Amino acid sequence: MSEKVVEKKLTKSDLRKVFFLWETGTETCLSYERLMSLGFCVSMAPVINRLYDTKEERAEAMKRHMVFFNTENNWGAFIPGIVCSMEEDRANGKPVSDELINGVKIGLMGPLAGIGDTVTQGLVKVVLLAITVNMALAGNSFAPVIYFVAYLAYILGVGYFTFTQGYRVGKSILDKITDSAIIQKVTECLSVVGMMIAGSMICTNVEIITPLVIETNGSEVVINDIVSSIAPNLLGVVATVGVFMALRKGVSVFKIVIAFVIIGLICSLVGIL
Amino acid sequence: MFVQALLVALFASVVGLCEAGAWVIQMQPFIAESITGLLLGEWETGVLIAATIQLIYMGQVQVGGVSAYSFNFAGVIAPAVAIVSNMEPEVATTVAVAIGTLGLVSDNIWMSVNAVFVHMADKYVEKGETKYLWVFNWIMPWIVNLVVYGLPAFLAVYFGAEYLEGFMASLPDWIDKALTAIGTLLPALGIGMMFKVVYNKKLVAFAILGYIAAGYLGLPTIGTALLALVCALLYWNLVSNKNKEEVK
Repeated sequence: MSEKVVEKKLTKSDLRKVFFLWETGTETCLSYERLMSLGFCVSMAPVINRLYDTKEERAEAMKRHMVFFNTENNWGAFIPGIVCSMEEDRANGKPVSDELINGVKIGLMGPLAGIGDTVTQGLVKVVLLAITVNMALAGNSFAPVIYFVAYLAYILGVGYFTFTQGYRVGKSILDKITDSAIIQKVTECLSVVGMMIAGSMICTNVEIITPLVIETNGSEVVINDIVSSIAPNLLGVVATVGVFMALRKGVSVFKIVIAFVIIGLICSLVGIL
Repeated sequence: MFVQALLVALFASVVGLCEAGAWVIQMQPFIAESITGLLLGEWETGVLIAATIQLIYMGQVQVGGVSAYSFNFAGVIAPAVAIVSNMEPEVATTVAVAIGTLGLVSDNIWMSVNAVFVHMADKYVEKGETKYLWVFNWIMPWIVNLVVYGLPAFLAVYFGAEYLEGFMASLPDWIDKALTAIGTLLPALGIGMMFKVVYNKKLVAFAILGYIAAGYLGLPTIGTALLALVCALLYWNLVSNKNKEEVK
């Protein structure tokens, strides 16, 4: 049992594997419940297998990456990059907690998606399309190939750049932070960001609207207007807080899903949802 | 026609199963439709139809897996139908919009059913096994793809667009309604789980602040993130330092 402690290190090929899995599998099992969670977990598999030896450690690491996750894939490749370096430090016994890793993930996923969606879909895509679609309409049947090559180069180029930068940034920051009091401080500040983003996501991601309309003497009362005049997206808040309370009490995710299916089925039949 | 219908069906079911491929091919009607044209042996017609249809979807942005039309239906099935039935590009556009919207039912089913596979994968995660995750990440969703995209694509090419519309209309209304209702509830579970991860009793005020920023002030994501950054910096300078002095 008294083996010499060897520093665990990710090889270049591990990182390449992570990037490859990230570029192929992050949205293939996209689900309403947790969006990219499984994709993220799958792409971290080479890292987890390299760094952790026992089943328990691996299970713990995999669970970290099975939580709700969603970002823009190309600029967001920064996140698996930085997480790789954090997992590496954690495996080597540095004080990197679950909260720190998830705080970084959640803190970065929104802003990077915001930048990525704007630049990739709002700028690069539109400009490239504007050029090549007009070429095609003018009779150049080679135009889709040009678009395909240019856009693919952009996607992979930006993805690889942000991924490697993420890994490097993670290294250089975490190497300096060894004091656990500072880690604690960083974690708390990241929680501030995480809590705020999560709070705002109730409004942007959980949109529960009731189509219920009550008619009284010819005048219509739209229930959803009343509900949202109390607080924006109140139904979404109630549902999210309800789930959170249930999870804190230890209710399994599976039971909540079943409850949602039953509630959804009944409410849609009655016309509440 | 049977082989071509099969090819298009296969294409419709695999096009989303590679992330980079999805960005470059599936999400761009321009490319997806050209390839459909190629599969049907009419590359040039395909490109022309693709360019015409792409014009309506020029400004479309997909955010958080939610889009205003189904990529696979507008990008693969619609042009296939248009090419097979010799439609003019302008007519093809109308078909694409109709079919693309209709296809949202399939997207809904796909993203709802995928949640089941994530839960199945959870069992392997508990055991710490990474070996079989690919089955849930690729194979299972692909099987669903075959049903929700491949089958309509095959029927559309083999029998024509009218058959497809009839089939979609024959689905009982309540199935779609119930799926949509469940689909609107499920994000609450995702965000609820996220809260469990970041939750810190001391910091509840910030969750409320985030809610206010997005709900009442209507700040976009980057705006909220910047505000969160401001709060984190203030917290770093004001609150945490105080704790440290107490320690001293």
